[in-house]
Amino acid sequence: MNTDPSKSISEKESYKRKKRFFTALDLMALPGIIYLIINNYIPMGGLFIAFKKIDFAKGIFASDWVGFQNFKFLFRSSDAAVILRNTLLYNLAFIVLNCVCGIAVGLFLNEIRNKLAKKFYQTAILLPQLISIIIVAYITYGFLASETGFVNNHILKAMGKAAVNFYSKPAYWPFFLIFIHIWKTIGYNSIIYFSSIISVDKSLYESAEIDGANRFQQITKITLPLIKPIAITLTLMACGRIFYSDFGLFYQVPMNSGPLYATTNTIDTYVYRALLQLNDIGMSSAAGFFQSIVGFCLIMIVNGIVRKISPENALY
Amino acid sequence: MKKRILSAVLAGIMTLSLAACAAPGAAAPAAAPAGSDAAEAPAASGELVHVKQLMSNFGNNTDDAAEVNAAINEIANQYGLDVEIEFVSSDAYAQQLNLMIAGGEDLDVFMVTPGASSFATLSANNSLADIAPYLDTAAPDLKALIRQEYWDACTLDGRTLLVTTWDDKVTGNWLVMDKTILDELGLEEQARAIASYDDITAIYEKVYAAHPELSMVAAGGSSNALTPSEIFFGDTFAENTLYDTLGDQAYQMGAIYEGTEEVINVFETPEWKKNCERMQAWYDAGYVYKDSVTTTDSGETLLKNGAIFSFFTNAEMNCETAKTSQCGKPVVAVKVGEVPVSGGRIRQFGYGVSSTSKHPDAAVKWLQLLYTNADVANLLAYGIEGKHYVTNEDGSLSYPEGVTMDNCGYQYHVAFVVGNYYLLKIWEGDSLTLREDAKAVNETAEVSKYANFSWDNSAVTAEVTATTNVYNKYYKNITVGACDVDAEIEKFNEELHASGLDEIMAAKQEQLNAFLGK
Repeated sequence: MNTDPSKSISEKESYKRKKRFFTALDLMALPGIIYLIINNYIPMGGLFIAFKKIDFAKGIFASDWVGFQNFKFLFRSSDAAVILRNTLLYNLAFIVLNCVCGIAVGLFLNEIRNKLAKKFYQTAILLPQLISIIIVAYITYGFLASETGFVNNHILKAMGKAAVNFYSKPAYWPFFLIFIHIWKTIGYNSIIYFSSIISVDKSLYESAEIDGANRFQQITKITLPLIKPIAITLTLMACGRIFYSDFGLFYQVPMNSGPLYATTNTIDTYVYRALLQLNDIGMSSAAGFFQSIVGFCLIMIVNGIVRKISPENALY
Repeated sequence: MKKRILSAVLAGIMTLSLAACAAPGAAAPAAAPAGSDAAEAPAASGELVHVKQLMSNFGNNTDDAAEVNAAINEIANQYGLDVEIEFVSSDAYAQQLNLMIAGGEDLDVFMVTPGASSFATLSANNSLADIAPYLDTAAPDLKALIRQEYWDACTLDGRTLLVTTWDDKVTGNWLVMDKTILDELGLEEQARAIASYDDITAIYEKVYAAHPELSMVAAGGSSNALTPSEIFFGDTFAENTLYDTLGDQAYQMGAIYEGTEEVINVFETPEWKKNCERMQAWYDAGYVYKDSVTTTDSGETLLKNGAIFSFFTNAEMNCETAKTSQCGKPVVAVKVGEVPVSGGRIRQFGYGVSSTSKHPDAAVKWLQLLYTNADVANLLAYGIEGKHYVTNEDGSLSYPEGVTMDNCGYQYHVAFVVGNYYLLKIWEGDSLTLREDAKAVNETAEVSKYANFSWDNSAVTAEVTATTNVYNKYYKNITVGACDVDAEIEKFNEELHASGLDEIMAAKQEQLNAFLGK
């Protein structure tokens, strides 16, 4: 019970100030929210297209319903199992490696004392992120091609070994693709981890040092537990996209080479190749719908598991 | 903490997606001038009917399209038409076209081109309007211009859906060889006389002995470079086996021997297997360009850069002149096979009227103007005289003083898609009698027995996508010979059957039987 009038006024004022503050924040978030609504929510209305046979003369809304007909093609291929396996395994590998490598590089960056060197390394590892995947594909081609490739003509030849036709040997490609993915994304991933590492309270390290903890102990006992939440958040969000694949990486980098499909065909590339000729809007919507539903279920499941193990780190 | 992380991640995502948005946003204004310029014209006279046409630019520079559009309109206005022509980059064309039709935008006429904007795709989703009712009344000259056989091939169930381009439908398969090397080895005479697979091998043997650094042949790179196994040699070219794909762009969905009535799987025929084995023999001998499966360079580019000695291609009658200019060096082109005028070929390029068009009669009237008025056709192909081209003394065209291929503001030198190929003037370097020669061939060419058959794959789309995947996986590698061909062909067929080839072939056979009236 508060009877002091002066206090109640100051409370009101602080509430007012708070309100004004929130309005400013809301305004700042507005472009992002509008973007989210236009780009992510409004298109959801189009999901019904997945259940229609589109007839342009009738228009999208008046076209006939066909039930799950449009989904059939995803499972009709004799390679359906291979495609699902590739999509899932590559994404699992990416999730684990992104997390491990991102944290590792973040920690290394944090240990560099020379400011100039730190800036240099940070920029250098971020650069691949900015290179177009088409260029990456041709850099790879420059290394691996048969006629003019660097590896075949300058390394294997010099070693006296026979040339390898990399673009028709699927066995090599899981390694190439994972390597290229990590090389390309590590800069961006490590920056997120790096920024949360430097926001750790310095006094914790100081007291640990006084208690006699060495550098390694400081990392395992202080840094890692403190960046666990962000690692979990990023992993959770990646799980939601486990049925999507980086189209450029899987389509462009192997130069769309048929013999490599066993290890490079994913849902996105399959859909793209299959519908390139057919151009069926209903079928491509069906593929997107399927990917989203599986992603949604996975994120619910993983989040449920996280909530069981460490509730404070769950997304919701 | 959690909130902060989330907001950081969201902000990051937003920055990335904004960056991704920048590209298409920047490209949009380029299309605007054409629209705004054309919109000004009809304000003067109210009775003009607006017709909008969408075209692929086929990689040509059409920066001055607004100006050309205005010049075309000066003529079109006399016929009560106000035409607006919009060019779209060829890679974005199909996408843009489908969006415009789906979105119900103002669109009357559009170009039909292979790929996702093909006749099969557009007729399957009912984008094409039936123009038969308007041809007699609004465009009798257009109707009379094009051969009846071609109109028949563009008519499904009594509905005429396409105005095919009036150009050379007759093509042949050619072997294009580097003339400099032939001259150096004194082989030109022998090369011009080739009549069988073994004759080609004999040439390759000699050239390869003199130039082991060269690949003898590249295959499969661009859409235009054929692999020899697509040409179906018999032992000699004269004994060629011919297939008709029955309206499909590739063979994977069952084809037919020319002149028979039973749908077969080409990949199980002995001719095809033999051909692939021959390719493997070439590959093992070191004749085939090793990156044939992955390269995106065309045969022309590779030959120009001295990487290969020869390539196979599908082309019209003046192949040697055309390829000499494309390769930038003299070539010898020898015809190795005839291609019958199939339904797929007739429906490959043309103009369709949108099923969403509000005045299809005016659209057809405009097409008649485009196909019969030489001024309109030449404006669309070459731009404005004096600015984009000049006429030489012999009647051929070339770039004006100071203008080159690189800085010419308008050049749509894709003669075969402009509409009426025979109305176009001749560009410098081509034979001056080219059009007359071609016309004579075109008017009498024999049309395939199945040209009027266009098959509807809507009942088996899942199988079509599945077999397409299998086809992409094996076809190039086998036809280039870069593997153990016999074993791969077996696997290829096994997977085709597992992916529903039999269902597709049965559906096709059923429709073919109905077509043949059985």
